Amino acid sequence: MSESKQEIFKGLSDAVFEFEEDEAVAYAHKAVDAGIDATEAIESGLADGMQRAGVLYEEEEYFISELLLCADALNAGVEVLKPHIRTSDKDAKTKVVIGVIEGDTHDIGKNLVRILTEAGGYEVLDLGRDVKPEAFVETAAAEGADVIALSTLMTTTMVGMPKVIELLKERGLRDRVKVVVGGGPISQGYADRIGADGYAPNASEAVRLIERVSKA
Amino acid sequence: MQDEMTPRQRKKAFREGRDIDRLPTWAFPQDYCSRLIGATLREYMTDTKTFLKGVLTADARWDFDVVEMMIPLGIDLGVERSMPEDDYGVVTKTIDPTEKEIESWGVEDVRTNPAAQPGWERLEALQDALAAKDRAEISLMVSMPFTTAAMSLGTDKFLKKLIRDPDYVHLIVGKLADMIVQAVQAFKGLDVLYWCPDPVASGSMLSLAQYRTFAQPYTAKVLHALQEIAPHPDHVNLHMCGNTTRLWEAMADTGALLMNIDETIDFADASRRVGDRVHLVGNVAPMTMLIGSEQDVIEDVKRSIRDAAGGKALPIPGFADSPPLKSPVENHDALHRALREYAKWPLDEERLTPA
Repeated sequence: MSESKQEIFKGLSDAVFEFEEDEAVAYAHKAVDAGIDATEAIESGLADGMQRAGVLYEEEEYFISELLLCADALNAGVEVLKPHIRTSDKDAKTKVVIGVIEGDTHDIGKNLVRILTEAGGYEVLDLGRDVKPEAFVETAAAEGADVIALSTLMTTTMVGMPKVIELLKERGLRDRVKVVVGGGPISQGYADRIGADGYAPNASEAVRLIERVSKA
Repeated sequence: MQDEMTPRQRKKAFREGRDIDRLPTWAFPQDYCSRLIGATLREYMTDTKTFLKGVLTADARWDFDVVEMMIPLGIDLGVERSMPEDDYGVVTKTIDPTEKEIESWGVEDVRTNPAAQPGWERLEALQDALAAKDRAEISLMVSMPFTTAAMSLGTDKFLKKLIRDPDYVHLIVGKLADMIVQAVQAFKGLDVLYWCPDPVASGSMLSLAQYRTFAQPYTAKVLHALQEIAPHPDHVNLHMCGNTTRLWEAMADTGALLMNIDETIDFADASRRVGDRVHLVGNVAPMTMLIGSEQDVIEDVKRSIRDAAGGKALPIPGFADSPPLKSPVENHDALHRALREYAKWPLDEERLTPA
């Protein structure tokens, strides 16, 4: 007997939560075979599992290792579902450009923000690590992004963050594109100082921050 | 403000509980020295004359208690890094060794390894210029095995292995610990300190259980080896980044007698929990150095001394982590003035209260 839609969603969610990549792929195929809307499968299944993991992360029951494995399972499931996402769904989401500022290759924090932000229903354009300020701005302009999220772990590279804001101003995009910052050495004081729209101390808070600024 | 004791006199009296003129400090600004001589970061890191000029220019200006440098340990695992002209390099190639490959890893003799020779030249020059004149003590950097493994494999891949393949993690971290212990024997007999960063083994990355299982035993092994070859066990300083709050007792259980921790934590809480066992080193915020006023820097120095002064083991004020290259030189001047003024012994609680 075939599984119900809710059972498939639960299977997807559990696969992510328990970091079972093979299960995530198997349930994603079941969702496709059952004709379930791919976006719904991602949001009600895979993303739900990531959000459950995020709760345990906040409660200090899951740590970075667990979240990274949950993300692998989520990504494996998304890969199966992605070709089946309707074009209209792709265009509807708030777009976030994210990356680690030039000179820094520490991208775990950025990856967690990306994963939880995607799980929160946003379209995330991940530029990776060691990203030049110009690349953030050019991508935001070309993609019509609403938010730029900047991360750095190093005190030595955080000075690249205000450059992004300067470039947005030069391009006349500052009013349209919000800028949020985070990472080990960053503080609310630094965010205020450089004129960012917000600062988040951790990945979970970053998602809430992106939600706040994108609605402002 | 002139000091009344030399760094070594102060350290000895500090250790023996005798009168001191002020607390010892650990406030070497590392690569920031390049800014004082107009050198690029690449020049400062790769050219021995430029390095020495930068360190000695900075020492002439700020009269450090400790200066830092490194001698490569000859542990070449095949990791590649970029080296921009005036910025920090990044890892461009990580490795993915099999268990058999890990078991075959060896260490070149640090005394004869060509890659280590510039380091030995720098050490000799600094010993002549500083140590022999009873000025700043010299500290060698020795990275800890957990972080070395994480950086070599790629941190995210490595952290996933903590769950997926714990035996592999024990194998590689254990092997690296053995290699580091073997390599540092070349430093036996040197009158130096050791600064031992372990940034990936942070509470921002690991649970307490993960730290105690995968990092702490191997860190302890290396720290113990360093303490055995150092003139005194308190010459070894364990540095960890990020929020280490949940790890402090475990960090102290490594046997470290000095702990240099980031400013993102509550230094007063750290003092209450482990301040009877270890000297807390730090923790003036790099952010304050970058964007604060001179008065902000002074207040941060006062805070760090005030917060950490409650334990039986007195604090060693200084940086929490490297100050940014773009921090104003005036803030560095303010930091060193404040360290001399507010670390003066006995501490004046009234003067240490916030302005």
